[in-house]
Amino acid sequence: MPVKGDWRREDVALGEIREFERFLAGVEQRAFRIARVALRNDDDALDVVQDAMLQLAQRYGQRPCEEWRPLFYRILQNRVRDYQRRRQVRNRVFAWLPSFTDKDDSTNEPDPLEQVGDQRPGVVEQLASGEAMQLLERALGALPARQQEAFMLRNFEGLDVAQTATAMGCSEGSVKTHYSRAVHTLRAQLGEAW
Amino acid sequence: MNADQDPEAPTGIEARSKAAFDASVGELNANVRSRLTQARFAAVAEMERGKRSRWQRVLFPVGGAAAAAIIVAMLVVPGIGIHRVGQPGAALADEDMPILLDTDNMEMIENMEFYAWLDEETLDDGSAQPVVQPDEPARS
Repeated sequence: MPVKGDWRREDVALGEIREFERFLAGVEQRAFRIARVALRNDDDALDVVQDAMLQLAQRYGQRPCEEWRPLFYRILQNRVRDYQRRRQVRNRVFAWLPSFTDKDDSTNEPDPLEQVGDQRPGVVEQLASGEAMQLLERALGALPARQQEAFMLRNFEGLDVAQTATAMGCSEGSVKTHYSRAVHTLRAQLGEAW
Repeated sequence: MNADQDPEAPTGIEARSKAAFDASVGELNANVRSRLTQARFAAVAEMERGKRSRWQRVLFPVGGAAAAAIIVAMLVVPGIGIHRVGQPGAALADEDMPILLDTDNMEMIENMEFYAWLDEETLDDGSAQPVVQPDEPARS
């Protein structure tokens, strides 16, 4: 019956859209933190995450949902690399003019709205974890880009080797190498006591 | 080492990094959360648009072809659809087709009754009786 078929098609489409929304809700905050570590700027990280979400919807929304995760992170990593490249070029061009160089985030006045948070742990735990994350971010920032990507995707996001390879656009062997080197460097920098 | 422990589970720096990262995700401020939610809504709307346009791409040509077939059937098959005004049941003559299909003649189609009356008048060759208004007294 055509009418019944139409309903079924509509149900399937609605189900896919809900599944897609659930997927995005599950990854958006982690994706933002990963982009934030790589770009060290909230606005850039938000732009990159938004672009990745839109591109996933436009290009890969029809793909099976199991493929969304590695594809999303692949888009995200590509966008992060684009931003980093653009920033490098901009910094090189305007390096001789101090007024054009990027302002350090730490010198900016904090936005009062950004200080508002919910579901936060106690102040002591927050300070401890915040400090630990700052140290980790600094150490990650010193890693080569590919090692940084491999570590964040494998360790933070929990992708397996095959998914990480898809997200990074390289072989599984390369993922293992990058990850192992990243862990080795981080251990050396942060020490076992961290 | 505990025998139940997963040998693949991350230990040391990997476990601590993961814990620090998870904690930092939980501490995102309201502004960032709000902007992420807006971004998500935009992406979902984009996916909905994509799905709609995909169905439209399939349904529009099918619907268009069906509508064209109905129009052609109405024009070609005798006894269906278009009849000459004033001559109920008469099939459309083949020689009228180019006139009807010409877009310049849309005005004529819209005022079909007037042209039918004019046609009748011409055929009568001036022998038609003048129209008499009901209020007007008949002229001798």
